[in-house]
Amino acid sequence: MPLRIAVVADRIAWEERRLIDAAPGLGLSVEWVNDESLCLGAPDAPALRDFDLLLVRSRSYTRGGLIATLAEAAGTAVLNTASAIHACENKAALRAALSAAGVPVPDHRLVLSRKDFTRALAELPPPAVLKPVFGGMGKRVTLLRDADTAQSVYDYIEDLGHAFEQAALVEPYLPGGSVRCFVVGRELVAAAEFESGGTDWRNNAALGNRNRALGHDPEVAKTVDAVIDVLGPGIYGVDLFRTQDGLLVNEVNHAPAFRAVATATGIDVPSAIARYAQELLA
Amino acid sequence: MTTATLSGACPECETDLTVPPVGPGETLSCPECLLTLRVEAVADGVLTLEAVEVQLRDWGQ
Ligand SMILES: [Zn+2]
Repeated sequence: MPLRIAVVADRIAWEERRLIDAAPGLGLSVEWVNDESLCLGAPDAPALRDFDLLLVRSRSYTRGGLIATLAEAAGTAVLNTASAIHACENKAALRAALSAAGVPVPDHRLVLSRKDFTRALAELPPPAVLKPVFGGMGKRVTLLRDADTAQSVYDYIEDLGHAFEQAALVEPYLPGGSVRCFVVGRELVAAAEFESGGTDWRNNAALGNRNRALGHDPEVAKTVDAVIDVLGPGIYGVDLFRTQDGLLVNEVNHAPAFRAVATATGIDVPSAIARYAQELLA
Repeated sequence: MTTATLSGACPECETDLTVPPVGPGETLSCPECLLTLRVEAVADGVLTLEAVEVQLRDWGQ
């Protein structure tokens, strides 16, 4: 009987399609389960009864951690673990956890008010980056090139509807480029060097920038290993910044896209995920 | 299980749609009203479709 995996997401994108297509050849049965339909909480979690493993691919940063927590409570194996998802979905908490473990992260300030913002920019003068604590895909990440426009940019933050959307980080702008690492289990399966293309300075895979495969790099491997020591094994997109002082961990994505990195490196990501799932449940 | 094409109707504008094979959870765009439609189920070559948001407010990953 094949291993039964539920891909929990609000819809199937390119990545999930690859997994579903590759499943039969890898001895798996992979099925989409709508993340809006699980109604978890009952001790025996009826919606999960037919599955050996839940692969949480919710793009919503509210849903992933909640679903993983309740699924684990019902005794279902979950990838990633609830604790890893919770750590990754909050950029400030993740950086605090990594820092505490001695993993280098960019200098940053938590901004919860205009007062914080003004002080953050005094301590980390422009060019600086303002980014939401919760969120991803490069959205709302703003490069502040000079102090003139910064306070006007903050006007928009103040107008956001909820306090959790207003929570932001300010960090120095690091122009050295970034490395996107795709991790499965404890293994660094692929790494690609990203440079922003066109007129958008942001360096995010979701925004479709140029990238090229990166060969074995001991410093990258060591940094990724240190991140996994903090989060535990799982499926991660680990984003690193290159600086003169070495690599810094920018953020870790717990439901990473892999189209760009798979295309750049030719790595068979669905097979790597399938092998890890089988190992996990063996 | 392989069908050359699948058919369905847009739940919003009722336009008849014929599409290449897709599975539950995948999305397509209604050519008439441009809404994003998610495949809820496939049975006997017929799609059950539901209109969904293009982007959720809290998409972060
Ligand atoms: Zn329509």
